[in-house]
Amino acid sequence: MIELYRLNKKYNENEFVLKDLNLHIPIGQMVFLIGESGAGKSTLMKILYKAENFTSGRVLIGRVDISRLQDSSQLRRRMGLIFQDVPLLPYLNVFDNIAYILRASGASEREIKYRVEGSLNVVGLSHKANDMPNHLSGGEKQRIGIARSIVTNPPILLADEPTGNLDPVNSLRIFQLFKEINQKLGMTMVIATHDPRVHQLKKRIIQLTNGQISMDTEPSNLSTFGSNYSPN
Amino acid sequence: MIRTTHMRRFRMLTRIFIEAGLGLLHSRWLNFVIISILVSALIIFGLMLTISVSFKNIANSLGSKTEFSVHIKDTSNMDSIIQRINSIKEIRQIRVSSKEQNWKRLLKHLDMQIDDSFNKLPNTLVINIDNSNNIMPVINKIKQIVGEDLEEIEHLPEIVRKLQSVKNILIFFGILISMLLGIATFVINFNTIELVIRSRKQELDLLNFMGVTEWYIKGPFIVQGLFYGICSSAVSCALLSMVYQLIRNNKDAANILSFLMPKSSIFWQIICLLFLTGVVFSCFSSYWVTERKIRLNS
Ligand SMILES: Nc1ncnc2c1ncn2[C@@H]1O[C@H](COP(=O)(O)OP(=O)(O)OP(=O)(O)O)[C@@H](O)[C@H]1O
Ligand SMILES: [Mg+2]
Repeated sequence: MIELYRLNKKYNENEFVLKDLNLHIPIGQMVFLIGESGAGKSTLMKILYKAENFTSGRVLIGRVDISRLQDSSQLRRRMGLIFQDVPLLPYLNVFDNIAYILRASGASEREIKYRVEGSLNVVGLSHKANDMPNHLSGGEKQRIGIARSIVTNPPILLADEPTGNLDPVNSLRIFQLFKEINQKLGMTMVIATHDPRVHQLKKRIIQLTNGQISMDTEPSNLSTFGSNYSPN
Repeated sequence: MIRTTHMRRFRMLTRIFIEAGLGLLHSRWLNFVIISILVSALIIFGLMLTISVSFKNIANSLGSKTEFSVHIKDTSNMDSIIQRINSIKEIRQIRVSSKEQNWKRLLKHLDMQIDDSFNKLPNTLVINIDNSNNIMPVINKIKQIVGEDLEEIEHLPEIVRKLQSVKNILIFFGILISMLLGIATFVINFNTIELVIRSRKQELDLLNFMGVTEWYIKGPFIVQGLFYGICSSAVSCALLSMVYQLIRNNKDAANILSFLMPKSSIFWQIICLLFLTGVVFSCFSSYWVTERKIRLNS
């Protein structure tokens, strides 16, 4: 689903932020991207959602060479993007915040109701549909952010430090939620984070160090199998 | 993923108009400022168009006659020029009014005594032709024949020439003012829509991240510009046509202002042109803002 070939990125002449990255993430896989601050995680994410160009190499998403796309909208329609801060519109309630993007893409009210309720259900916040954003806790806001990013049912989910604002307990819950979504909906996911506890989730972990992959561990078949069927 | 169908497109279009409406609500009294300035610009521009069109008409009607004067430089050989001009078949008669005769007439007119050595006037040929329709072709032929020796050809009566210089001044200032007002509209329109864009920054970022199409994001602002254009054009065209009808229905006024009143078919063409100008101008200025101020792909 996501393929990188000899990807290089420089912001200025002499410094590689990403160096010679080769990476293959198959459909439906969930990947954690870890690494120290400044390792290049956000840069890689931005390249994937085409907010940043790369210096050389090839990036294929769903077999499409993204450097050939005229603008990012085609690509982004197939992605859910999640960030540390959840930009919820303060004057709309939770339901309408999630519906906002559906309305913008011309969905009918019936479809909107069906989809929004579905995604609120996935994140376990159906009872908050009528609340205003400023009445939500940080963890709830992030869940709403996740609900909004999956409401169009995109095949890919990219999250850059989704738990940056959350306490350890809530962070772990959010990661768990991602894992559930991955299992239920089968989206390909890349989640960039500092949190070392992602090891507990038994998913593929890629570590970036100074723009290079310094570690790429896939849980063994047995443990993948185990994690898929263990009741988390 | 969401596929695009006709029904979806239609609903998106509806949303664009709703968003444009919200933008208008957000701009409040600025809407009126924009529209009134644009209306003034359009009215002045429309008047200028009307005046310049109707002046052409009177110039043609008053100027269409069969006699005109050709002023020839003092140094030239008059006989040979007259001979050559005589070969133009449309010419009925050529009368010579020499430099000395012209000088005498001028002094008499001014009621003064000035020594002849100051006489710098040209020699004049007063030419009569067969048919007023031929006046321009004949003038052109004379220009070719006389060439270097020609000083000027005078074929419009005094009054028309005076009016024409007044008209030129009027049109110059009219165009100047409507351009200034046009620029003012552009600037205010730009700023107003920029304010709306800023106030909707969060929404625009969101739409951008979600990969919503460019025309959906920019559409509302262009619709807002379209609204300004249509309103201003409608108001100014309505005002101008009302005044036009009023004058036409009042015989005295119509007589006095006859030289400013174009034929109604021409007047309606002007009105249409004016309407289009207003709409296109306004749409363009809001399109310009969106291109400058909305950064997608970031
Ligand atoms: N727009 C930019 N212009 C120049 N340099 C940049 C730009 N964005 C990032 N960098 C540099 O690129 C390097 C990688 O930054 P990046 O944001 O990808 O790191 P990160 O791994 O996401 O870090 P963090 O964990 O702190 O978010 C850093 O050294 C940063 O200074
Ligand atoms: Mg980062």
